[in-house]
Amino acid sequence: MWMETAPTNEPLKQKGAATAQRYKADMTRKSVSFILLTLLLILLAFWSIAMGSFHLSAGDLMRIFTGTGDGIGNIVIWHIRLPRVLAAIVSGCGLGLTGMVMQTLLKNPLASPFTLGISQGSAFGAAFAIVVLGAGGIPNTAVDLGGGGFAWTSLCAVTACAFFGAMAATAVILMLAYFRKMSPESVILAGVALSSLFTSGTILIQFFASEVEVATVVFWTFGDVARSSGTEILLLGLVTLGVLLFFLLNRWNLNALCAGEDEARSLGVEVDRLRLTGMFLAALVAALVTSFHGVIAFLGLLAPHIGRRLAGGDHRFLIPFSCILGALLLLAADTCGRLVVGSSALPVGVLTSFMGAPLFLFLLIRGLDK
Amino acid sequence: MMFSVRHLGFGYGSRRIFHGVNLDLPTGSICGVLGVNGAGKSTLLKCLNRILEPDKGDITLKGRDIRSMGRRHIARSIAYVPQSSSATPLTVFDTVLLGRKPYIKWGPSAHDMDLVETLLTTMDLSHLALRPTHMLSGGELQKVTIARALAQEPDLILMDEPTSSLDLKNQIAVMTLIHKTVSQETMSAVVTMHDLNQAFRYADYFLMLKEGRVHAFCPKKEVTPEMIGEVYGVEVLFEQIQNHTVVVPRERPSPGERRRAFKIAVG
Repeated sequence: MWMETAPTNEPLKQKGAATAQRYKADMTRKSVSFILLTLLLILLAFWSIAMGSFHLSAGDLMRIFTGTGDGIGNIVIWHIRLPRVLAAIVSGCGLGLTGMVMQTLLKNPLASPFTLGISQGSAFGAAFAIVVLGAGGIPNTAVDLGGGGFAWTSLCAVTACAFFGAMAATAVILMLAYFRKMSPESVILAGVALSSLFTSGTILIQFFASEVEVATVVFWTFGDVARSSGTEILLLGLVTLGVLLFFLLNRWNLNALCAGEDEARSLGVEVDRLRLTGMFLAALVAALVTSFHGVIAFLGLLAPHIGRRLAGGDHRFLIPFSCILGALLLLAADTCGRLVVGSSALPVGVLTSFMGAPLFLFLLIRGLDK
Repeated sequence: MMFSVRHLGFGYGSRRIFHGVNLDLPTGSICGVLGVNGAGKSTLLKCLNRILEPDKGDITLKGRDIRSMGRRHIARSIAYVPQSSSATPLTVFDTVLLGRKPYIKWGPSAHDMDLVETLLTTMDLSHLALRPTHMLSGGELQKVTIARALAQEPDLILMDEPTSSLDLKNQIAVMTLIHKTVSQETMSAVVTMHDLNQAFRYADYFLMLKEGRVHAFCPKKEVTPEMIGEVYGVEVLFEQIQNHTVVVPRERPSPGERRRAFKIAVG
């Protein structure tokens, strides 16, 4: 219909063509930026694998990856550094994705697993397992998992309880949103209340715990990518990939939701179903990341906001940008932690928290300017 | 009839907003929905494309029952322009392209892109194409929202006070555009309006809501000043200026003037 009323005079036609050219150039710019970020992530990953107290040259790395490396180098790469780097990439990708999705679904720039109480729910679950169930300690690296000193079932109990804690928080949030028909703003407030509740619960458990148990709980809450096993990374990777695919398929629906609920419905979006399914899947990834690696704060906030600066609000680009930036930030933070202190110290959660506080201030200042 | 509504009713729980709404709209016509604030005009509009689910009645568009259609299919037939749109980080181009969402499977086709270009050019929005909508003025944003609705290539367009945030020049531009598109007999429009003069200038049919019921549904030429007076509780006169009907509130004497007139009359 509209093509029949297309401008017939030449200047208007040229104007339209110029608009399309500019739009295509903008799309190309975003695609190139994404490719550059991916290359940067690959370079950082190789550098992170190579650097550390046990130095490995590029030649050593090549020999190890082609299966002709020596014994110690093989152990360091395959059992310590590669799982750690992969865990950082997969977890960062998952947290960046979940933060971005929660911000869109709840129409709130401060939505993230941390502000919705999911991370605190997970921490409460872990504290419950460590203190009440006596599940014990946490391995320092993936190598410890194969050792005899640490009970595998103990780690499973902590992980399982952390997961259930996170999902309990998610269930409360979803029930409030679905059954009470709460507005997105109220859901955020409910998340703040839940965070407080779970944090108080964790403190209460710690009050009755022994010194060793308190230390274990505190260490767990730091958030550390060095403690994952290959199975955990694989499981997290597969779930994150599946959830990423779901949101990529719904990228136009997420764009429509930005315009408002009524407008999204008028554009053919099943808003309630998208919001409920989306929140569940995002929370599932967040729960898995937190139960495997502890609380990694602010990454879910930081990655999508940087993504919006680079790629704008179009979810066709924002989804991949949030994932790649989440992975880059977490890997960079973990690598920094290793550079500053050493291979087994300074958990990555501490560094991401340091990055998060300035972001909050930045958001507040921007908000005041508006 | 292209668009037909029978015995439509909606309420929030026990509170009825409207009931028994009937409407028949031929192709190529604009229906102006009139009524005082809180009469249920916006709610009615949202029920017509099932943004809100009506609890009673039937809605048919080109013989198809809207209530049995999926949301995607409804979006291909009915577009909606809200009273005020949310500004988003999406660019103007992406926002108008969003109107093609009901047709897009994975990525936009060449036709989708051409259509957006045409709309942006026709509505004089080309220079804003790459600007995020949260950086637009209220009027510019409203024009973008209307362009997005037209990008849906709908059979029916629902507009909730579409010109409320536009200046006079843009009001005329937007309403002329809608009128021109509709009069090509490719679609119809249901538009809620507060400006009675604008309604008389552009609408072909009037639907007047009063206290949750249809007070009148008739062609423009059958509307009387009494009908307007009953709906709004204000006496009005119809004047003709440059072949357009203009609604003028009847000036009533103040109580002091009435007393003086009474004294003169009784001597």
